[in-house]
Amino acid sequence: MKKKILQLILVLILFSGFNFQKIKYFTYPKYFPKPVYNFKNNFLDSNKIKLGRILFYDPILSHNNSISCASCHSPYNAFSHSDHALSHGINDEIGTRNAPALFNLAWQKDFMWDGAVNHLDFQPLSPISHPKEMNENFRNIVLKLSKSKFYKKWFFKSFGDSIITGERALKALSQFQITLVSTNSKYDRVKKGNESFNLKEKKGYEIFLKKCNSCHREPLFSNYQFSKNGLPIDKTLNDYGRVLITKNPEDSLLFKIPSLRNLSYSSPYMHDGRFKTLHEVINHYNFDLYKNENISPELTSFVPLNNHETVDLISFLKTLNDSSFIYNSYNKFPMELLLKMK
Amino acid sequence: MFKKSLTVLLFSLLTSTLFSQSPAITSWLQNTSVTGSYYNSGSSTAIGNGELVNCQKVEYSNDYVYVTASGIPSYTTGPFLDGNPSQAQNQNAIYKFPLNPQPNTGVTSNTTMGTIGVFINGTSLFNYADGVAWDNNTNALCGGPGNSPCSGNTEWNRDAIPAEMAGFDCSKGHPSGGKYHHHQNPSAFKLDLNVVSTICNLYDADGLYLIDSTQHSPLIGYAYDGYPIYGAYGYKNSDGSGGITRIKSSYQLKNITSRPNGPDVDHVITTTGPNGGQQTLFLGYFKEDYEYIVNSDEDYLDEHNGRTCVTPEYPNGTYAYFATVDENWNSAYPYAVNTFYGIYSNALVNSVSEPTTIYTSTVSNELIDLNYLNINIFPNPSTDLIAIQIGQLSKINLNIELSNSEGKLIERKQISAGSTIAYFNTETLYNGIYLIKISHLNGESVIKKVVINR
Repeated sequence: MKKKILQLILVLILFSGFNFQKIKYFTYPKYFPKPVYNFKNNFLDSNKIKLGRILFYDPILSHNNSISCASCHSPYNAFSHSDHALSHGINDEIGTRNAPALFNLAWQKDFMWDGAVNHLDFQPLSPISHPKEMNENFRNIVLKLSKSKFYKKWFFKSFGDSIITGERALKALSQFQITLVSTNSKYDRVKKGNESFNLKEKKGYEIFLKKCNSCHREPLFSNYQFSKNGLPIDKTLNDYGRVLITKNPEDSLLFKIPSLRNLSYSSPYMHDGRFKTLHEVINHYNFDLYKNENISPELTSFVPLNNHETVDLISFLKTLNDSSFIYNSYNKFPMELLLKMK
Repeated sequence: MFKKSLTVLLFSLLTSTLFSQSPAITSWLQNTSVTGSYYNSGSSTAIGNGELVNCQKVEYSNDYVYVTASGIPSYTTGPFLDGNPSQAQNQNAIYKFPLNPQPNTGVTSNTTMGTIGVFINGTSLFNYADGVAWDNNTNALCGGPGNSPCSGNTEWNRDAIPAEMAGFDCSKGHPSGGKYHHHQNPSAFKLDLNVVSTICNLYDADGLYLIDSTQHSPLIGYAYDGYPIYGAYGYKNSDGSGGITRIKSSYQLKNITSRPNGPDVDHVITTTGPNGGQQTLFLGYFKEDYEYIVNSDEDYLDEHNGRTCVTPEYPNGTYAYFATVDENWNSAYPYAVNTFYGIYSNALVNSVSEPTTIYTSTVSNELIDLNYLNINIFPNPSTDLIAIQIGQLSKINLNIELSNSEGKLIERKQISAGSTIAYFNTETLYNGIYLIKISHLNGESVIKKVVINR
């Protein structure tokens, strides 16, 4: 009895001391908010993360085994795609949106540009089942995975038996994606007191705080809400954003606000990839915003930046690039895992 | 009497040092400090590979020159988007070329798979072949990655240049088991008059040299038989007269619709693998789709893809191969060396087995007219990027400095010997006038003005 009470106390201590900043395989700086992802339902585990990484890079998730998650979410583009504005899927089908960058996903509640999915664990179902993306269903994926000795071994290592289910595959995918944490940009090093901004970056940071921070809120550089930023509708795509999901007319032209971290790696910009450079993006706010009255309230009083201010702002935005994230070998194509378990 | 013989002695000493050194000794790009880089797919940021580029040592005896080379070029390699898992790796190769190559009067030596020549930056020249052929027993492609081995003789052998286009990097090269090589003229796809590959959209349009229709091409390498290889343009006539013209291959596509013991022209096959799908076996897919048509004009080459002619390096004439291109500057069959004109021997050797003299390149001490390099700075006015590209081949490392109009240095870059481009990201520069200074070791420099205006 005494022993049991002692065990209970130990367990309680362990749980009360459960510090979100120090979840195993998942760390983040003190100035970050608490993540919203519920780790209790999917405890991070080294093998599950690795399995998720293998799945992320495996075209087996698409109908004709030609497209993987990484086909559109490349590590060197902060897990977005830089070659084309609209994502190219199975059989070279072209979608209607720009593949978004993937990082700091544990802080996000809504996924996709229109917020169609509200849980990371279910997000992969969307691109997998989309006829222009991977055009596959999970029943078939489980059948394909179950034929592979390689995957049986990995599911055994990760879950204690070699039964392959869709839920397990999805949880493993989430685990890998959760570990895509980018918190080592120059901005972060300045925040930690290890470096300082140069003059342009400092001026740019002041402009950022005044003009951008209400939507692209630091330190994540997005509040992960939805906004109308005044982009004229592309008549070839007729994409009205969130209204497609909610059917609420007020949600017309609302798109998810992306993080500004890793901008230099994740060109092109906007939900349809219409802008290639940061100058083009900022010039939209500078010169084209007033042409469109249907914009979010945060933008109605936006005073255009002059040439120098635009350059200062871009100088600051470039401090949000995190090269250690881009070249992190744990995020790359899992060559070492494929070789080890042949 | 004594005086006269001294003069003769002096003169002969001078000639032996100044005039006897063959271009086969002096043409190699030597480097013991600059290291190379590669691109990952999707990222235009070059990543260092830590390997020395170009050639590390050149030594010679009376009869041979020996070149030690890593086989890593100074232009950034990759990515190779056809699923090729290889990267350019240090070959630590020693190549031995005869200083007095001899024509082969016997049976012609065919080129083989693998290295058949070496570019002046130490990278390999391969012939047209990629090891894939048509198997008439199975009615399918055979050989190469993903195909079953070929049975029996192959009468229809695949031409790598169109077939492997997707796997070439911007400089028209790719590695095989770590050995980086070109099957063709080593200049950037993007700078051809008609651009046939999109690979340079994201990656620098770099290469060993730039095609220039107004100048005789630089000497770009040596074939295994010891004869030099030039780029695309040369003197129209073999005696050096007639001005500069594109030197043309005498091979043409046959006028055929079927292939004996092979697939019909435009036959469609389905292949598997990462780049699987439907593939059309168009005219020009196989080497045997071409035939040699004799042309008496002197700017058309012989069946080896060379001719005996005067060149800037060989004013008294030599046999020379050319890396042929068509009127759009796209690589033209048989691309460089078709068969050997001279006596062939495998130039790749394990060691240097005779006493030699080390040749120290003097090129960095020579006075070089930077204007001759045809420096192109673009776009000007610029917004987010300024590129600096030299017009032909640079045998020296050039320092490139970007400074503001008051002369305050902003950033420094280099165009290493054997590469052609450098660029500055100007996203964070205010509108205004900036200066680009191009200089090299002996201090000579050129300053050009650029405008940033958005």
